[in-house]
Amino acid sequence: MGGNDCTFIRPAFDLVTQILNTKFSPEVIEYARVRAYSITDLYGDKANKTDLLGVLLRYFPATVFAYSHGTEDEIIGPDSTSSVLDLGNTVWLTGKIVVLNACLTGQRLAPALVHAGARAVFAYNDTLAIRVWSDTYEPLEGFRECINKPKIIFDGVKAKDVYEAAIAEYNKWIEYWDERDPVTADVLRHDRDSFALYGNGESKITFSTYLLIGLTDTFIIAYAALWAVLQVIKRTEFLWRKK
Amino acid sequence: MDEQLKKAVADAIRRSGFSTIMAGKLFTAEELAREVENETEIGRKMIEIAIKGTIERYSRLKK
Repeated sequence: MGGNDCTFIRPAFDLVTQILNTKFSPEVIEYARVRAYSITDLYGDKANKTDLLGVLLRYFPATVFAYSHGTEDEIIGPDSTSSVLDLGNTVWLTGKIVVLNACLTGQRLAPALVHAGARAVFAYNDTLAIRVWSDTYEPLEGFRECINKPKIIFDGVKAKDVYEAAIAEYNKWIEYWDERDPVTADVLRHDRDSFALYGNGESKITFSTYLLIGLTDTFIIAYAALWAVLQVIKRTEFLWRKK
Repeated sequence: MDEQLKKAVADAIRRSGFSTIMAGKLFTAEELAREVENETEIGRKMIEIAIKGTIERYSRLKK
C-alpha cells in the first residue's frame, strides 16, 4: 500500500484505445512490474469512475497512468459516452503523480488536477498524434519510446527530469525521422510541443521509502518463518534428543 | 488556403504511406491526404503541423 502502488486506466472501446492499450501501455506496466511495483489495472470496462474510486481508496497509489481519448476536461472511458476522470473528480488524485496519455487534457484537466492537489501531472495540451504501420497498427519507431518515457518515474526520477528526458527522447526520434520521412518527424515535433508538465517538478516517487517498506516486509516474513521453525524444534525436542 | 501548399502536404502524406491516429481517429495515408485537400479541421491541423515542422527542420539545417 502507498508508495509502491500504481494504477493504470486503460479503456478499450474502439480501435484507437485498443491500439493505445495493446501497443503502448503494456510496456509501462511491465516496466513497473519488474521493479516490484504493485499494479492495479483498470482495463476495458473496469476503467470507470466507481472502480477508480474503489482502487484509490483501497490502495492509495502514488502514480496514476491513463491511456485513452481525451478532451480539455476529461479522460474518456469505459465507453465513448462516459468519462472516467473529469473536472468533477479531480480531488481523487490529490497527492499523486499523474500521466495522461490523451489528447487535449493539458488544457484544463491537468491544471485542475494540480489545483486539486495532484503533485505533478504530465499531459498533452493539443491533439496527441501517432503514426502507425497500416497493416499491423504497430507504432512507428519512436512513438512508443516518447509517449512511454514518463515510465522512468518508477526509477525515482524527479518530474522535471522526466519531462526533460521525454523532450530529449522526442528530439532524438525527430532527428531520426527527418532523414527518413519528414511527415513523421513533423508529427513527433507536434507531440513534443504539446507535451507539458504541470505542478511541482521536484515531485518523485520516494524510492527509498518503497525499498524500506519492501525490506521491512521481507524481514517480518523471514522472522516469522524462523520463529515457526524454532517452535517446531522446541516442541519436538523430546522426539529427537539423545537420552 | 494556398492550393500548392495543400497539394504539397497531401502528396507528402501519400508518399509516406503510414496511417495516422489523430483527434481520436485512425486515418490511412489516403484518407488523411483527402482531409488536407478538403481543408477539414483535421486537414488544417495537419497543414499547421507540416508548416511548423518544415520551419524547424530548415532552421536547424541552416545552423
